[in-house]
Parts: sequence; structure tokens; C-alpha cells
Amino acid sequence: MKRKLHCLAICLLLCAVSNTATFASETPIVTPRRGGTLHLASPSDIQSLDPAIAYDTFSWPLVRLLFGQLLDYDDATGLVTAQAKDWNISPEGRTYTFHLCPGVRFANGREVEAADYVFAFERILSPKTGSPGQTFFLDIKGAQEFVDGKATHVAGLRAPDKATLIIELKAPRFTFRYVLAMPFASVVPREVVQQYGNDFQYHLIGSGPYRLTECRRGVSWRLERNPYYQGTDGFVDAVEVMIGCDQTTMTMMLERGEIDQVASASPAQAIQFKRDPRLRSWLTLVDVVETDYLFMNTEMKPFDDVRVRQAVNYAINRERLPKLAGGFATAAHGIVPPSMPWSNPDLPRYEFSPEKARALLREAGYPHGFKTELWCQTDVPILVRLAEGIQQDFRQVGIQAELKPVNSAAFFEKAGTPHQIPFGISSWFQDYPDPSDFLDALLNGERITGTECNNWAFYNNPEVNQCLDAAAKSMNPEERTRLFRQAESLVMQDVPWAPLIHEQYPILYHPRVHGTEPHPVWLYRYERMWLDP
Amino acid sequence: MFNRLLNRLFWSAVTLFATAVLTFFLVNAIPGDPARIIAGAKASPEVLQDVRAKYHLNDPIPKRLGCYLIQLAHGDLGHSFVTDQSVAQAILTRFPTTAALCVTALVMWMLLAVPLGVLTAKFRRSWFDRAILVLATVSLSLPAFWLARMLQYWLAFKLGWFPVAGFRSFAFLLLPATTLAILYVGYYALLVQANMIEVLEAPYVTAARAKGISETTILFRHSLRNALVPVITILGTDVASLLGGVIFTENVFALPGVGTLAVQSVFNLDVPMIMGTVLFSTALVVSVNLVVDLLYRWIDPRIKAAV
Amino acid sequence: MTDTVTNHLDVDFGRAGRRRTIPKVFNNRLFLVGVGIMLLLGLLALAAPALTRLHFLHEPIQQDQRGLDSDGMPLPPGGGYLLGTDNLGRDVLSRVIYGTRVSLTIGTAAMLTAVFIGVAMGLAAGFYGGKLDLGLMRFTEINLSIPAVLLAIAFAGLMDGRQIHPYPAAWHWHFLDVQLKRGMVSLFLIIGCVCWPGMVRVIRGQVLALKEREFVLSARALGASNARVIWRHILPNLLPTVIVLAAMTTANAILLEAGLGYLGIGMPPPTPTWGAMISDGQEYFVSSPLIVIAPGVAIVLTVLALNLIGRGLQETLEPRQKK
Repeated sequence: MKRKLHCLAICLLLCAVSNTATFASETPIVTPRRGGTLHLASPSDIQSLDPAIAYDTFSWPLVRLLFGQLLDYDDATGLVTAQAKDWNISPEGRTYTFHLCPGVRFANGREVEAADYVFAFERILSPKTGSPGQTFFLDIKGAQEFVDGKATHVAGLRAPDKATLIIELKAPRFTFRYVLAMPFASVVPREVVQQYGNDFQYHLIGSGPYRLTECRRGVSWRLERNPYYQGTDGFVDAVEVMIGCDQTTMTMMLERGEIDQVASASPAQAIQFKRDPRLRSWLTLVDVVETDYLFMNTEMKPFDDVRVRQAVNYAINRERLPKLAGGFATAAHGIVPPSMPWSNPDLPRYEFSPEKARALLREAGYPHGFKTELWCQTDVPILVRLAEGIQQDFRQVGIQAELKPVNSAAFFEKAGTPHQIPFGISSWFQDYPDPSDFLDALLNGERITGTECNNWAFYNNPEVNQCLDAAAKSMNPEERTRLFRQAESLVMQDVPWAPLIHEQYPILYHPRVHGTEPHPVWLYRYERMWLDP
Repeated sequence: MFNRLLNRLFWSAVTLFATAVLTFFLVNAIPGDPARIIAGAKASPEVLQDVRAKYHLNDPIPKRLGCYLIQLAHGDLGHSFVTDQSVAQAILTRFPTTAALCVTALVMWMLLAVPLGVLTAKFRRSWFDRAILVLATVSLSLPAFWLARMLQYWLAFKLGWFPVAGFRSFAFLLLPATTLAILYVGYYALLVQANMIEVLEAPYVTAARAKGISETTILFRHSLRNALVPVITILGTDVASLLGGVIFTENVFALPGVGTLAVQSVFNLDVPMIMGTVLFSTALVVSVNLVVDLLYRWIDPRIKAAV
Repeated sequence: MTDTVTNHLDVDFGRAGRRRTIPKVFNNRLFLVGVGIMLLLGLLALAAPALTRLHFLHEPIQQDQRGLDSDGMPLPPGGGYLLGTDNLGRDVLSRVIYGTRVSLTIGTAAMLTAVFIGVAMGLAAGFYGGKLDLGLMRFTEINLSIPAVLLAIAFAGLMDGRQIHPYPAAWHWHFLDVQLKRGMVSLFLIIGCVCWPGMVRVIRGQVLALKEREFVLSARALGASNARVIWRHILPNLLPTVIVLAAMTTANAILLEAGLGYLGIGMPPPTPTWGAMISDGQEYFVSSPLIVIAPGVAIVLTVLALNLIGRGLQETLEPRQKK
């Protein structure tokens, strides 16, 4: 019940925020036109469109063009069937049974079978694939044994016949359903993958509305219609992605009509469009469910002292930060973004107060402040901008934070290793619409491993761990809400993080593109877009 | 002549060898575990171990250098850490774009530089000469990336005379080639001028004038050819500097050439690709120099006689 | 092959020769214009901190909320900001002037490095000849073949703050540990090491010519040692060539530094450098074009001035008539 209301609230919120796209474009009853080529561009190359490997906001909408999944989201955060006909969960929450839609074919003509899903999920779990989505599937019974090499197949994955798939979990897990809507859970043709091995990324065949026809790495990618696709999605005949142009060039190309979408417009460009009456309707704002935050390594001095961490939180002028994102952000006072279902509206707040910060530092034994390094990722400009902005706030209370810009690969490596990064800035996007995706993944002390983990603050509070584990096991939405809110309150008292902002993505579309309504999880869906003649 | 050729070939090979060794040591001081760059930020320890074994990252440096050099001798430049495609193949598929850009630019700037150089040599110390001198000096003082961005904004975006970026047809090369041409026309105009001046003061020209041969014939038939010889030589050594301008131009106009590949590989810490692009560029410079050197000795009879 | 810097001097550039040539240089208009521009820029660069303290110039590094409009976008020129502000509210004019300090410092330091190495190599090769000459020239040729910009990008791009240990792991010579941080020193060293090959050939040619001059031969006949000959006769006569080369090299060094800054691998923020200003300001080009145009013009002016100085000097030292 509560969930439905929340979905409605989210829809209203989105309608209010994404002012232009839904109203400035033509009447909603127009039939989408089939045909044309959608021209896209990206500054850096797509790492891979292999569903087992792709894990960023630009690749996922493209992977969804090529591959199909069992479940999908409706226009909000509700789950609906996609390439499954129906599904049910056993009463204790451990067994999921799916019946596949008949007549769904891969791009090579073969019909999709349940065994292909089993193969796909085992592929994600296999250490040889090196999939970043492996952790999401470890809840399946027998998955850990398979990963460790003690079993040749995953016991919890069964395909009793061609159209039935049964997944059994180790223990009831509410959030597992969301995993099946992720692009990781795409079905792949097992004989093609076995034939090509690692080269599958150049011979991608899936059950989505499109197939990959041309892949020139670092230059361009081209997708064309999958002739065997039965569904109604996919209006354009082809999608072309051009690689290598920078932000400025992309906006110029958009205005000239050489490309149709700028997926990651910078705040400056968005404001320029917003101000120009002719271009205002080209701008669409999407509420991204994410948080930009500072993490403080609770195992390294001086951040092992909670007073220092609280001082850091008091030292930051959060209200000034959204301006650095061009106004397309809201100040963050908690871990879980407010647009996520079940987020906590009452959390301890740290209003901007340099005096309190200085007092706390004095108490902790740092009357003159201290020196530290603030690590940031060079290839994410908004984070660098935020870091520069906060640097100044810190100087006011005596914290000398020297910026340390490194590339993302080096950053992730160092951040996940103990005793490396004392102080860093990063961002986290939802993988699926559930608070556990933030709290459990990032702040559960039991998830700290020796070599790498996402708990970069190395925060380990047994009380918080308990709440999160209980919430993971529960199947009751009200109980889960209560536990998550409790966990988040505890975290915000201990503040291993200093949450900064929740971003909104400005996306620019050429007026000839329709079907650009934002989506809370996918941001945009290319399969719903169509072009004017 | 033949000895000369062998000698030059030998030293070219030595150059390439030395470059390979130099770049090998350079890029192996990089930060960030290469295994993690290849396998991705979220790879498990087992995958990292596999990667290290596959790329021999645990071997001692001399052994890795040796393996690399042997690989090179077979023409194998290794595989990209990021995309696993063959480095040689990546470079070769992109080379035609860069070559087309350079050749187009070269034709453009020579068509302008040669007449300017000749005319300013003829009308030395005139206001025309001074004006061209200043313009030429401005041309070689322009930062490539800034000029590219300005031209892109005014000519492609505002006026729409050219496409903004990309490479879908030859028309997409025109504006980038113009950028490069503007950057180098000054230097070559001054070069042609300097050489023409020297040639015009040579005894045989004075003799030709005394014989009554027309100025135009003297200018174009006799002097220009001799003046151009050193220019062609300079072109050879200048390929290295030209590649610098190409890098920034390709970057701004998003052309899929070797320049953008080189920059991307540095930012991705893609070690084999970095080494591959540096080696390839060096090989290019060395080959052009070799060809120019041989041509030079063949064209210029004075040198041939001396040898 | 004709050298672009021809030098057929028939005077010894000892004290007597210099006295005659220096006034000649000042008659050259190019040289004067170049020097004029450089003096102006140099003065501005030197005076910048004082001007800031006296509040004639805004702070170049301090982010200023007042420098942004209500949307957080840069302000146009006017109201105390002669050229407007940049994306963090900082005054563009003051940043361009402070950028002059950075560029001139790095340019000069890089030039000195390059000249030091280049002259040393050219001198050794030309003076001593033989195997040393052959070896040094081959080494120079190898370095000339590697595209300078590419090498500089590779070097600078790898300066990510990591510690390197230039000794075998077993030795534990930790005093040799170097931290590859991006800063003025590493930048000018990189640029200098990439620029020196261009001048070796010219210097060597000069030294070869000078070796056969009467004053050198006579000094030798009088029993002067190699060091004395080099110090008293060769080096002073190399000076004009070196100065011309120095001017051109500084110009190239500044262009290279701007290029590295543009790619994001120059001086780290918040230090104002022209290249970084252009790259940061690109996305604001439509609404605030001055953020990109101003630093660009600054680069062109500075490099132009240096090139004019070099060209002017070249013209003065080049004889009007050949024998």
C-alpha cells in the first residue's frame, strides 16, 4: 500500500520537475512513427555492451536495446513482466518461478529457452567472466559453491522445461526481484557465447529490439533492428553512437542537428539552454537517485574520531553546493536520496556552522585544524568542482585539504584497499530502487573484505549491521522501512560520510526526438523514442 | 648511393629500437596496477592473478623488455589493456584519417606559402613583405587547440559552412585541415622566402638576368625549384612537430585518427597503446626522413656530385 | 640543407663586436615591438601580487560567490570585472595576468633547461668531433624523431602522484624515491627535455664554423687550452645564436605548456594557467566567450612577442649582403 502511494508521489514529483518535455512536445495521443536513425554521442568509449560487463548509466540504455530480461519497470518503480509471461514467489520468499513468453527470439532466429537464462546467470557468477554484477547473484542457492569452483552448476537455478525457470535463494531476499530487471540479468544465447568466449562483445546477439551491426572501438557503434523481435518497442530503424567528442562539441552538434541527444549535459550548458527561449524546450531534467558524498576513512587518523567527522559535516555549506552543479541538484542531508522509496525524512541535521566545527576540532585535539588529502576522480568534472568548492569551506575552519585528482581506475583501486585513502569524494547511483542499495552496499561493516569493497569509509557499527541484515531478510515492507530508517539515523549520528548533494541530470534532446520522458531507474529509454520525418 | 641507403636504414632501425626501450621504461613507471586497469575496477583477486599471468606482469623488468622487443620484431605491438584489440590494428585503421588530414592540410598551406614566399622574396623590405612577415609570425604563434575551437565555433557552428565534428565524409576534413594549414602556413612562407632570397642572390641568377631572361622565368623556372629543395627536407623533419598540431586538431573536431588514440590511451593508462602510438609516430617520422633524404640526394645534383 | 638561422659573422663577438651590434638591434622594428610587449607583460606579471594587495586586481584563486549570477553562471564584463568572471566566480583579467607569471616562469625555466642541454650537446659534438660527435648526433636524431608533443603528453599524463623507485627492489635505496607530482618543476623539466633536440644541430654547425675562424686558430697557436678557447672565444660568439634560439624555444615552451594545460595535465588547479582556463571555459563559450578568448589572446601575444624578438635578432645578425 505504502509503496503504491510512493510511486504516485514519485510520478507527481517527476511531472513537476521535468517541466518541459511532457508539455512542450506535441499532444500525447500522436502515434509514434517508425523509421529514421537516432544519432548519439559520447565523450569516452563505451567499455562494453556485453550485459555481463556493462555497468554505467550510458551503457545500460544501449544494452537494453540489444538484450531482453525477465522483468522490467513500468513508467515508475513498479516491476512488470518483460520477456516473462508471468511469475510468482513462494510464500516464504525463497523460490521464484517464471514462465517465459512464447515466441521470443534472439537476433539469430533461435527461440529463447529457460536454459539460456540459467547459462546467462551462471556466466555472471563465473569468476572467469569478471562481471561487476556477480555480487547481485550470490543470493542464489549454490552460487557461492559455484564461484568457489566446488560445483559445476548452480543448484538454485533450474530449467525443468523450455519455458519454465525456477530460481531458489539461499534465504529470503526482498530485493532479489529487482536484480532480475537489471541488464545483468539479460538472457544470452548459450551456443554463441560458448563459440566466441571473450569476443562475444564483438558478436553481441540478444533478444532485444536491436542488434549490433558495427563496432569500431573508440570511433562509432551502430545498432539496427532485430528482425526477429516481436514486441512493440523500438521505433527508430537504427541507432548510431559517435565516440570522442567533448561536451562543448556535442552541444554544438546538437544545435546543428548533427546529433539527437546530449545524455550528460554539463550544468553550464543546461543553463544556457534554459535561458534561451528558443532552446528551453530542448532541456529535460531527470531526478537521478544518487548521492554525491565525502567519505572519511574511520580507520585512519584523524577521521577515527567521531568529533572530527562531525566537525567536517558542520564545516560544509551545503546550500551553496547545488550552485556548483548549476542549480541542478539538491543539498543532501542523508545517505538515501529523498526520491527513493522509503527514505527517511527525519534525520539528524548538520547545519552549516564553522564555529561548531572549530569547537569540535578543538575538543578532539586539533585546535589549529589539520592537514589531509582529499582524493577525487579527474574524469568526473562535477566531483572535482565540488571538491574545489568544499576545499574553501575547510580552509575556514583550519582543515588544509590538498586535492588529489586521480583517474577513476586508480581511485577505485585505492579506495577499496584499507588504509589508503583517508578522505575522498565520490558518488553512488542506485542500482535498483531500494534503500539497501545504498546503506547495505556502502555502510555495512560486514561487507568489508581484505582487498576491495564499496564501504570506503571502512565503517563498522554492529548496531547498524544488525539493522541492515534484518532488513535484508525481511519480506515485510513496513518492517524494512523501520529498520532502514533506524540504520540511517545511526549512521548520521556517527557520520562516516558527509553527504553533499543529490544530482539532477539535465539531458538535451533535439526537438525532432519524441518519447523522451524521463524514467526514475533507466533515466531514458531509447526503445520508446521516435523521430520526426 | 647504396651504402648511403644501407647506412640510413641501419640508423633508422637503431632509432626505433632506442625509442622502444625508452618508451618501455617510461610507461612502466605508471601509477595504478595495470592488472586492475585491464580487468576493471571491480575484478576479483583471481581474475587479477589470471591477468597478471597472461600479461607477464610479474616477470622482472629486463625479461619483459626482452619479450616486448622480440614481439616488436615480429610486428606485434601487443593488445590494448582496455579493449583487448590489437594495438597495431587499432593504429592502422585510424592512420588513413590522420594521413588524409595531414595531406589535405599540406596541400592547402603549400598552395598559399609558396606564392607568398616567392613574392615576399621578390619585393623584399616593402610594406607587403613586412605585413606578411607579421601575419606569418602570428600564424606560428597561435595555439592549435584555441584556433581549432575558434574556427569550429565561428565557421561551423555559427555560420554552418562546415560540419561541426566527426568524420562521415571528406567534407568533414576541410575545417580541420584549414586549421592545420593556418598554423603552418606562416612558417613555410618564411622558409620559402629565406631560401628564395638566397637563391636569387646566387651568381647564376645574376648571369641569367644579364642574359636578358625575363624575371618571371628566373623566378619560377630556375630559382623556385632550387629554393624548394631545402623546404622539402624541412618537411621531413617537421613531421614530428606536425603530429603535435594534429593531436589537438583531431581532439577538437573528434576525428578518429591516431592523435585522439594517443591522447585517449594516456588518459586510460593503456600502456601498450601508448607505446604503440609513440613507436608508430617515430617510425613515421623516421620513414619520411629516410624518403626525403634519399629524394634530396637524387634531386639535388650538387650533393650527388659531392657524394 | 640551409639552416634557418644563417650566421656568417665576420667579427669576433668579444667586447668590441658586441658594442657595435647592440645599437643595430634596436633599430629593428620587429625586435622593438616584441620587446615592448614582453616588457609590458613582464611588468604586469611582476606587479600582479602588489596590485592585488592594493585591490586594483581581484584575487585570482579565491572563489567568489559574488562573481556568479543567480544561476551560478559567470558574470559578463562590467561592474568591477573588466573581462567578466569564470565558472567559479573568479575575475578573468586577474587570472590571465597571474597566468602570465606561470607561463613565463615555466617557459623560461624550460628554455634554460633546453638551452643548457642543447648547447652542451652541440658544443661537445662540434668542438670535439669524431666518435663523440657521431654518438651525440645520433642520440639527438633519435630524440628528434619522437614527436615532442606526444612525448610531453605521455610524460605529463603519467604524473599521477605515484612514487617511483628507480633502483632494483632489493637495494632499498629509499633516498632515491621520487614522487611524480604535477607541479612547476616536473612541468618545466618535461618541456625542457622535449625541446632541446631542435637546437643541437644549429649550435653544432655554429661551433664547427667558429672553430676555423682566425681568432680561434690564433688563440690555439698561442697555446690556449680547450677550456679557455671554449670559454673565451667560442661561447661568446655562440651567444647571438643562442639568444635567438632561446627566444624561439621559450615561445614553443609556452605553447606546449598551454597545450598540456588544455588537456588537463598541466599545473593542477587552482593555479591559473592559460591552457586550463581555455579548457575549463569552453562549455561557457556561448554565454561568456571572453573566458576562452582572453587567455587565447594572451598566449598569442606572448608567443608572438617572443617570436618577434627572435626574428628581429635574426634579421639584425644576418648580413645584408653576402660576399
